[in-house]
Amino acid sequence: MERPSWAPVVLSGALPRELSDLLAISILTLASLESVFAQLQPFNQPAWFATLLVLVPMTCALAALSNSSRTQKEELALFAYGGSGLQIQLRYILRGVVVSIIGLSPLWLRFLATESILSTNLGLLLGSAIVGGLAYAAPALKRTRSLAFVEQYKG
Amino acid sequence: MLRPLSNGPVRWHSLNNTRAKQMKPLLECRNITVAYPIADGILRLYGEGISFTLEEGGFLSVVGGSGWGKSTLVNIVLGLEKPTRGIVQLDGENMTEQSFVKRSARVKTAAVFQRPTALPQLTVLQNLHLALSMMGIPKRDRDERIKEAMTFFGLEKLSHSYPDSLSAGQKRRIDLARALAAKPRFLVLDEPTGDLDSSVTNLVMPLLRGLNKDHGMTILMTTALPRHASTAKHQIHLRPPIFQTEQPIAR
Repeated sequence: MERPSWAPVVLSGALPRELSDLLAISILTLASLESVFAQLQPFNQPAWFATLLVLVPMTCALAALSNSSRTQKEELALFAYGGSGLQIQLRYILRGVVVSIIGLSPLWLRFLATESILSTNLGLLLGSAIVGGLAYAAPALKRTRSLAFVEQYKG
Repeated sequence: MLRPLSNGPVRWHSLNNTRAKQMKPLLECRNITVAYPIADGILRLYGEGISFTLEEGGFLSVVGGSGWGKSTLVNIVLGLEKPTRGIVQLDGENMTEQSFVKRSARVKTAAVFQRPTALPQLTVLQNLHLALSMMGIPKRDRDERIKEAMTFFGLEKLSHSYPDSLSAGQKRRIDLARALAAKPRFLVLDEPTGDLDSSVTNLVMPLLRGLNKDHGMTILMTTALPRHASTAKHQIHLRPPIFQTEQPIAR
């Protein structure tokens, strides 16, 4: 019995491969390193987290937007292969989460080394990564829901 | 040089003979009309109420000129667009509001679009593996089917190439290989020979006829060329779109 599978479409796109993804990771890494090496202790400050909540989704959304022409080809192919809109969104959310986690890795390492696994800071970091994933998927969601998208199949 | 898998009639070896025993409607389109607003108060109308039935094991060509709504009809059949008016039934069920995924879950469908579709970051081989794995085909079957398809369409040497580095005709062959390797019950092709040279076209048309005749695959194909349309058992001819001032169109 051949049954459609979710894993290939979601997992095959999890790893960031594009230049824009690498740039987004670099920006987040630089911001993370700046926080880690700052002599101040900013991690409990609401302002620091608010900055993270703005920086991560904006960087992820910018990475996704700057790569629109290639990702549109990707979306057209995935729909043609039988993928659903939800699967394709999950694919991008996962990729955005991976970009965020790698980019914020200096902070992850610091908190994992110094705090409990259930600490608030780690939770906030995870929340930032999820918000980053959602922001990464947002341009594709807008694109694939437009009538202009299916017009692309017509050559 | 392309090598057909066998001498004589072009056929797809690994397909079982699943010729439909009973002819029943697989696809039924009733009174399909699509209206696109093109300017203030002006609509471009495709179809004017197209109705047709495609039986299980049937082969239908949709013939029409450029811009007459062939691709729009394909999108409607696949569930990528919704008609302004009319009903699409698949395997006896009203699927007008259902997506391609839901339609394909009911009737396993593969589509070849007018514009080539492949993931640019994957190689030809990876694209074919991904497409078949998304359809839930086990790896041991995938390898065999992909090898067969790539051999048929002369893609062996391109297996590690990336789609963006290939010509339009090569990309079209990838799409055909992907669709046929999936062994669908319902195959939808939008101008399948559009970018192909005559040598490949001469293989594709007999292949489609063989898939339909020997294996009972139901095929819907659009074309602008009457000589290709004659490959099919039945044809419908579209008329050019008409333009009219906007008025309410009941769904």
